[in-house]
Amino acid sequence: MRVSHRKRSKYFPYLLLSPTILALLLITIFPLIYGLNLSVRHVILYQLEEGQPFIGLDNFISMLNDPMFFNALNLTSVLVVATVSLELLIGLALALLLNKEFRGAGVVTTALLMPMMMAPIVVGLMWKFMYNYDFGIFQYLLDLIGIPKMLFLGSGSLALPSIIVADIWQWTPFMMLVILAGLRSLPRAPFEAAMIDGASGPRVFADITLPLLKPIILIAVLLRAIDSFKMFDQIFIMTRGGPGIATEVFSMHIYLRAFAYYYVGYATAMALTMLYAVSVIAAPLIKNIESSFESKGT
Amino acid sequence: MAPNAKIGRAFKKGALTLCVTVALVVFLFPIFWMVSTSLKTADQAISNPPVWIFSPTFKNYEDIWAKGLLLPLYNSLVIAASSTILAIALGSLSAYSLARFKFYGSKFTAYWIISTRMAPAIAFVLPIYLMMRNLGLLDTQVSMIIAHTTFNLPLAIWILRGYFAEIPVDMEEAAMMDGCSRMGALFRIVLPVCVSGVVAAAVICFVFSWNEFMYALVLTGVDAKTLPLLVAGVQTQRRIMWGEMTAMGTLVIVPAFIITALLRKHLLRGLAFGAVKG
Repeated sequence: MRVSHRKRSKYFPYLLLSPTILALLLITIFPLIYGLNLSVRHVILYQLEEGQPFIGLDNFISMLNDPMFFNALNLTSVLVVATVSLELLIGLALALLLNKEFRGAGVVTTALLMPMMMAPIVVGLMWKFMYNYDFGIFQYLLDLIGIPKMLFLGSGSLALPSIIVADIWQWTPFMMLVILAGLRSLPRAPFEAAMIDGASGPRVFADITLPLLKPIILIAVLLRAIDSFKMFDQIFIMTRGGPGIATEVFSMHIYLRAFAYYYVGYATAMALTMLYAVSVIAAPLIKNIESSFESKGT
Repeated sequence: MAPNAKIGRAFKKGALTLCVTVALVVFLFPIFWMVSTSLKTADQAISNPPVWIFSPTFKNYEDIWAKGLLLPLYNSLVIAASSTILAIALGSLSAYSLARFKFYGSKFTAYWIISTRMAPAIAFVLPIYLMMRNLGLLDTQVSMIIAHTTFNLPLAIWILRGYFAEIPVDMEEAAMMDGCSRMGALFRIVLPVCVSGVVAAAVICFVFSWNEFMYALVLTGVDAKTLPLLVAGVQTQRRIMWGEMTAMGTLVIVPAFIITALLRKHLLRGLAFGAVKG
């Protein structure tokens, strides 16, 4: 009786995991293998039945010879660096300001959670409406301070910054609330010691607060970086990659190659390259989340 | 000294109030603007200078209803609910396994599961599109439920695992002493104790599925069309109907907002993959 019980419990964790593993193998690993197979073939979306000849690494080679690929890489890098750094700076500043007890803090938190729960497609729509050249509210506000109308989403130089602003609007509250949660969980002792030593505010911030916050900030930054790297919905509704190729970031570029130009094999090769790039950012993130989980879980 | 300190404190309080007010205006005004536009007439919606005071009308909502809102609404609800139930049902078993046992491959499995959640949808969407096409499942709810499970199942596991790990093992051991099986302990002790965590995980999965756009764009067209696709679709007409579009946008965000207000404390934790305690 005892023996059989022990034997059962040895396999029990695997038994519990098996439905998930089976499901993930079917819906993520199998598509990935299927994708790998597509990426080494010449696959045209409207000629699927006419054969998908094996072409080796040609898709990857033509990707590396395509200036459009590097344009996408470039735009995506600008997008990620700009959104994440600005969200971090504004979010950190707001968190430090709001790290006090005040009446209505709960209501304020709820209000600030609203943007990040909105469907990205609706965020894009809302900002597109506000950016509109003829009647957007921003044109009205510009007019109030005497600045002539500006073409936001329709201009090659302003389209990407306009998209960046919309993303900052949606995700700065996330940065702020994560950092605020981090601030609230900091140990008291180092701060009391610093106060006794008469350390100045900025010194305390640089030498105690920031180092203690570093793990949580790192997690927030990497999470945002991955999301920003994948951005698609907002760009789809605001500019569709335009004007020209001014906002054709990675996801948009791959989508257009596959569904506007029908180069599915080529698009898959790029998508797998992108998956690899994301996993490079994700590896340290997962390590950090895991260690924060283990330190709190026990 | 005393009056100085008093002035200093009043100044600090004033600065705090000012910052909170500015932040609230900046982060809430766009939402207010969209919702209020949805209650304007077509002319008011695109007037410049903007109309601030107007008598609200539900004409835009009536119009989008008349143009066929019911099917996408139904699809969105069925797809989000099904993928959430699937994610929680499979996910709670796995989360319990990962939270309670250290076994050969447990760490690798946890890493693999969360990295699945972080993978870009565009990497899966092309093969899944062709697979669904081969299976004849394009433009069906089934294809969307499967697609949404690719991101909801890993998310559910990751969130639930955090909540399960917080329950003291003693509680289950006591139950098992009393003759409860391991499974019994999970269903009778762990899940009931973690009910708020399970609800939070379910709600976050639901919202992610409800908001999802890329799979909807690629996998569906007419029959399994969801609300986000409808939002994007209205703009393909030659003249953008801003009143109707803002009404659509408002409808899509309302459920997410209600949920946010109800589950404030758990949301942030879920969005940060359990790295933060809200």
